[in-house]
Amino acid sequence: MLPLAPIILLIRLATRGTSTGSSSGSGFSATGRAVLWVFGVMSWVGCLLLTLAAIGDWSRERTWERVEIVAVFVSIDVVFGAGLFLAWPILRALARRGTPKLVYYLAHASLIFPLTGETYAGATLLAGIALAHRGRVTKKEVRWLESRLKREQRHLGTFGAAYALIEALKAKRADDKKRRLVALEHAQRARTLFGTLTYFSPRAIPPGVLRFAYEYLALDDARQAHWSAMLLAEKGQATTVVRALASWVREQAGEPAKPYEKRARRRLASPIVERLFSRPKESQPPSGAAEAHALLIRDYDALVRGRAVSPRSSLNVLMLLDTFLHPEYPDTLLPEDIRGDEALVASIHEEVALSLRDVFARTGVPLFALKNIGPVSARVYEALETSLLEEMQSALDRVNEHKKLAYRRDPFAEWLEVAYLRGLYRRIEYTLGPDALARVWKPFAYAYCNLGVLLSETWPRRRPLAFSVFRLLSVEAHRFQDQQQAQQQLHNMTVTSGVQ
Amino acid sequence: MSPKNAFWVLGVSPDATPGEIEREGRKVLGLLEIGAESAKTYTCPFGELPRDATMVREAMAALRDPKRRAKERCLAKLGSGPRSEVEDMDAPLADAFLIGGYRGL
Repeated sequence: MLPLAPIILLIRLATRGTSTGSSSGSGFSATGRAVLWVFGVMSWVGCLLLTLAAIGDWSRERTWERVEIVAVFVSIDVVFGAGLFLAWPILRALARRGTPKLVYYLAHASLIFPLTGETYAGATLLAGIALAHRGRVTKKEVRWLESRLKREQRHLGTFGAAYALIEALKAKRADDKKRRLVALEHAQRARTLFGTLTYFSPRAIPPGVLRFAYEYLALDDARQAHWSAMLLAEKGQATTVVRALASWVREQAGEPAKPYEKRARRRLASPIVERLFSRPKESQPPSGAAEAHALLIRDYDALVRGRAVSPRSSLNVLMLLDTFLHPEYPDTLLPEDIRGDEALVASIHEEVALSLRDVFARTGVPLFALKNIGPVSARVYEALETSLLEEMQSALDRVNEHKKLAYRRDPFAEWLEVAYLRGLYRRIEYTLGPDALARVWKPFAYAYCNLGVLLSETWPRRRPLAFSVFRLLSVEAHRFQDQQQAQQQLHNMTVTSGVQ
Repeated sequence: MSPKNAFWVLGVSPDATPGEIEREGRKVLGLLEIGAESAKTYTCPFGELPRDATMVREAMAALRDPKRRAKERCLAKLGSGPRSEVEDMDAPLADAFLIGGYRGL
């Protein structure tokens, strides 16, 4: 007898959302591939029953002929079942071998991510991961990935992840060609796009894709020395790599690593991670002016060249510049003949501050944590405050204008806009602190909510993306104790929590 | 510290005398005039950057003024000198993506 109940349940799930037209339709949508996948599952169940029958026959009459039949049926079940239910982990493992075309076509064949229906995006993401593992990505390959992703009709979490990965591959290409600014721009885009995925409804992003996004963010944080961000991923969202890095961060902070993090470190056995564990546990302050100057030279040079410097070292650079460029400091770097010329000294401070403004505006630095403000750091703070708040104002004006005109664009542009605004908001928080953030909260909430409503209510609807907008606003509304906004966003999240 | 620091544009040491600066400037202008490839770029801590006759003239003019020369010298020296070799506990992990086996990120 066929197990009818699970089959009926699968068909009901597959057709849910389209028949009711529910705005908050849970479950998955009835794309052609989802229906095909359900029929695949039904066929697999049928095949399983035939296998059981063949095993029954073999137990009654033990002949080689029967063994062969059982072996054939079991093989079909295993291969077919693996393709239907374990496509992501199998293809993810295959992608590590660096075969983009193979994983791309196998992903299509296995109807990857039938529940969200993003087969093109899923296949593109896997091909991108394969290229990321292989390295030496060519322009032609990046264009191929872009052309594949453009064919995707459903723009949910996997689409965002594939788009972010393409940006990350472009960043690496630009970096290899020494086009530092272009590389930084692409890397920033990749980072904010992956960050947006962490605000997605679980219905709109497969767990494996979310784990990949967390892995990318953690590795990027390690590259930028944003170590505290390593602990953001929850246990279920953290891959072995993220867990191993988190164990080091905990150890540095003087707290014991969780048992699963210790196991992850042992399992990974990465020499790079082990090198981290051999780092000093504490930073030694410079013993004299010469040592402090050597530190300043090293970190200032890295900053102006656009290289990563830890937030602590960035603040040290500012403090050291304040000191070494003060005319009354005994070991000042200012030539003796100009120390008395206030205007000239101020122009030097101005130029040094300007050289750091653009760097910090891109990467962010926790300036609000500076305890003592000097001539250079004050100028950097002022320049950054002006630049970031102006950037935010013009971005909000643009969004409000789009809402007024109900102006919609292609999914790439809209994904980027949502990610960019959230990234800018976080940059203000990171650089200027919670007080400055509180000042921009109201206009930001108004415009960002407008953007969410635009995405949710005008055609073509992108409700999963709108959900990420409302989720951020909900979190922030609770933080600023804005009850009205919190309630509104809760309602918006309920409306947009489906994948339609 | 700007990549267009006058000392770097002219390719002279921050401790060069006004006479040396003038000589080097004229030499670079002459090379640019005849289209010498070597004169079309200059090297600074930011890497190799393009250079033209206008940039060279501006740099020479800036360094003729003693006050601006002092300022440019101070800014040029800011990025030069012995660098610390101390390993920080929280330094960035440049090869972080290799932990996950991502050679292309």
